[in-house]
Amino acid sequence: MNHASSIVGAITPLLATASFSVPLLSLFIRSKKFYNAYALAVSAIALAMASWTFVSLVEGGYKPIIYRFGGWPPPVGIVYEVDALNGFLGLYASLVMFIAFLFSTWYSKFIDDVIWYYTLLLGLETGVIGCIYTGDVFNLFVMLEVLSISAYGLAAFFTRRPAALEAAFKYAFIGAVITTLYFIATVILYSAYGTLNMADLLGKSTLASSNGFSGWLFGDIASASLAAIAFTLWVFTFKSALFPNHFWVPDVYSAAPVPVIAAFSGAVEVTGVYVVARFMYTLFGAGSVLALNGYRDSILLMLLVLGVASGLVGSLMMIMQKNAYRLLGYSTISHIGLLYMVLSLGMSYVPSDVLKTALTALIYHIVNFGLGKVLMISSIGLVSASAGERDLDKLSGLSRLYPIASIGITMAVFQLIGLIPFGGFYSKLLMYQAFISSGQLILAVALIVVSAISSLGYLKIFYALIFPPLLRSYVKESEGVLMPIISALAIAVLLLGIFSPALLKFIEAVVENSLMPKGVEMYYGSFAEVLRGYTGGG
Amino acid sequence: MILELIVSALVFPGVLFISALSFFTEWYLRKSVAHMQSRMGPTYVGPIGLLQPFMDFVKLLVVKEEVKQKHSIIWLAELFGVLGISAIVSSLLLLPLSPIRIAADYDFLIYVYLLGVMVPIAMVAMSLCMSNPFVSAGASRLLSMILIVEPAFFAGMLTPISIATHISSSTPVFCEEAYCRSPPYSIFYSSITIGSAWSNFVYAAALITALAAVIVSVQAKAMLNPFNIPEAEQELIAGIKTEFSGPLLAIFNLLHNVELSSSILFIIYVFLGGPYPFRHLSIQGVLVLVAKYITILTLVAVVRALFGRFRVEQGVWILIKYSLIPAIAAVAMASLFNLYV
Amino acid sequence: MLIVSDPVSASIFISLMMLCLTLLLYLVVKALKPKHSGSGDESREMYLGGEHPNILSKPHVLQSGLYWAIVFRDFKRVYRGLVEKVHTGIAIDWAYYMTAWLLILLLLAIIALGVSSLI
Repeated sequence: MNHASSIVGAITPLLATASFSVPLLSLFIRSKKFYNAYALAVSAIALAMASWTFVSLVEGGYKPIIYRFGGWPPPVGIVYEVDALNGFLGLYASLVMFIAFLFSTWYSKFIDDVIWYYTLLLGLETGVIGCIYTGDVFNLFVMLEVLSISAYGLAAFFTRRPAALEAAFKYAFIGAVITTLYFIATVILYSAYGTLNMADLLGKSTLASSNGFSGWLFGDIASASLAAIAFTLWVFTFKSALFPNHFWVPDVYSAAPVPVIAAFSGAVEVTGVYVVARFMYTLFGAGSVLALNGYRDSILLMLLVLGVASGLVGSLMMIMQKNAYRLLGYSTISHIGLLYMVLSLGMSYVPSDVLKTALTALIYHIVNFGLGKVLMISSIGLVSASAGERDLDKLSGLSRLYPIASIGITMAVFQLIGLIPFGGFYSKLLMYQAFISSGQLILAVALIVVSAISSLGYLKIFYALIFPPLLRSYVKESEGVLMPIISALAIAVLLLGIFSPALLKFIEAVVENSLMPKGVEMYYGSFAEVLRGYTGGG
Repeated sequence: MILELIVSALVFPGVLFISALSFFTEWYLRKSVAHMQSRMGPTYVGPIGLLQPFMDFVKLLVVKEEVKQKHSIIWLAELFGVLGISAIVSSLLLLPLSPIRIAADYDFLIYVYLLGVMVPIAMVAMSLCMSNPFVSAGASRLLSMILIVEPAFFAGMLTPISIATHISSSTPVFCEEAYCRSPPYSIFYSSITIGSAWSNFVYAAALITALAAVIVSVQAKAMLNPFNIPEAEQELIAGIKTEFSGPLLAIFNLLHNVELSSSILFIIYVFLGGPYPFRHLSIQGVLVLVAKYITILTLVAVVRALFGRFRVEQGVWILIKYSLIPAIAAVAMASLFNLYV
Repeated sequence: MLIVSDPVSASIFISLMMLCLTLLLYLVVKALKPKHSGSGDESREMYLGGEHPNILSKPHVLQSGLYWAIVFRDFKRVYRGLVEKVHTGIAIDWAYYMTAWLLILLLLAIIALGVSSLI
């Protein structure tokens, strides 16, 4: 077992331990500064580990890294399997979480009880990284629960605000039902396939290969896959807030702590998109039992339709919002719609080079949208938290007090609209390319309609915060750590555009080695290799 | 190469040429509308008032001082205005007209983002730098029109480009080391091949529909009658232009006129194949180009003279009916024909 | 001269050119602009067709008013549907729409089962 593999295995236990030791530590230490430093250090370590994992993945020619918990052989024990896709997204998500923790060190002065805050936020990171790295559908359920429960807690964090309680109650109530359904999906999968390991499921659903540990099949895998996929998609479209499962987002955003909102839109919802991509392309790809009866094509078509609907609904609702974060919630919904529009171009009649363009656009847009959103949220957070207001009308002209926030908002608006030298443009360019070359011109028109409507929504933030004159005098808070965060992110979104030729080549390699047939083969290959180690080269 | 680039950017078809063209466009519009309404139109400067728009511009830019309003951010407004103008000028590099031409797969999308997104945002942001209720009302009206107009313009322009891509995929035009292909959705290559599509009556139907939709949307983009809703004189004072004065007004007017004339240029190339059926550097080619420009401009002028201003909701509805829906129908028709023709 | 390239490099080239031009034109405007004469030193009130600005309660329109026309007039029907039918804020209504999506997924699954039994 090499270093990279141990690191993959260590990252979630480390985060979970760190999270649960916060309440214990609180018996001895009450200093806010200590917890700020502690949580920041833990997330920095997680970021370093995720980067190491990804670097060793690239150095090893994108050969998936497998970690076996307790040394058990794969289908029997839980494994983490990191290929190019989840290695990359794990790095991205831990970066976003690190920024959220950095932001929290500034934001903690508005929070009375940092102990539960950091317990829950570290729990959220555990869930996110666990969901992304896991190679086991049942462990995915466990990590989903970790993620969800931390998320409910964080949504309800400001218990004195009725809006927060209402949002968290609705979110938790429906979320609990939903995660149970995912549990049922895993039960169905296990009853038919006799395995919960992702690579093993891939082997049985697509490659028709059996192994000595989980045997061959135990039931009708075709109908079991249908039911399991139906439930799974429903659950993860809820997590990633696709219309019509998007209702929790604006409510939760409007009342949660600001760094948490950054973590939600940058990392949590992306996790849902990742899981759907993993199920639709790795576990049940174009050659699987799911594709035989046309179910895969039909649900991809449904996801495409819902993606368009989500983009339209999100951007239309943006126009009429008054709460800054509610508006950003709808903007997230609209971007998630765009992500699903490209994610679902994997129908059997779409040529594979078009699919590759689409998936490259997906990954690149995740990065562009996520970083743009985090930039936007931290810039608005600086203004709104200092003023203690979330209503855009009451924030009028306030960013004139904070020049860095004005710059941050401007850059973020340009990035999210997709103006030309910014990264957001290049991912949208690839999206157009994918839609047009798949022959569906109408999707390109839909994309420009969504972009046009949502640019009106972003202009609203611009208009509210930057242009109006400041009427009252406010006490200016110090920018502190937000100064480097905002300036670094503002430079980053510009660099994402200027260096996009190199970045796109890189992301193309990531897609080629994960979601495309070659990558799927490698995903199974690593698993088979580990198995051969147990059965003596058989 | 560098010299050619500088010439393309600053002289032809860059800043100087497109500004001159826009002054001519403004003069022609004013003169022809005045003629239709039995008025004189511009007469003071130059033969038959030809230089009047230019002198207006110079006067505003160099002589008049802008009124400094209490809450405005003038430098930001200027920056946005100039950004809009340079976005248009840079997009001209995609045309076959320019000495340095850039062609790439899907460069049409670059054009759309420059002209359809960057310019309206620059225009709106420029006006919003001035704090005034009339400006905000005008900007709000402009934005609700942009909501319809930009998708319509995009869909309308997509129609000829997709048809041209389909045609040229069977006859490659660009060769690179014994490997021939035709870059898809490129403005340059589309304008070379689109002329031949008009002879096919099925394609011609789609093209005519799209052309009509695009002309309506250009009318609205340029805020000409009946869509001069955002600057609605008498109703909103001057709408988005209320607080502009001096150099700022000059920049705004130039941006507005340059946008109109470059849109017409792109329509000529993308729909009508530029100097088709002649070549660029021939006398007939230049004449055909000028004739096409004047024809489209006259159409715009006729529409402007025929109608009075619509109310906002009326205007939006008319735009949906006569621009967005036909444009989307034309795209749908084009993609259907591409499958079966 | 014709340069053929990929769209990404083309757009980077064009956008760099746009930024350079912006800078250049901005400097040109600054240079050509008449210098401040000194007489108009005091900044003026906004122009309201002759009215004095103190007839306004605020010197600018709030952002919530910016799209009033779109939300309540031009696209009234769309927004009424979106707000009164879909985004009501009642948890049961959420569940209604979400269950509909689950039912569609399951219905498609049943149809697919039928298809596979036919094959």
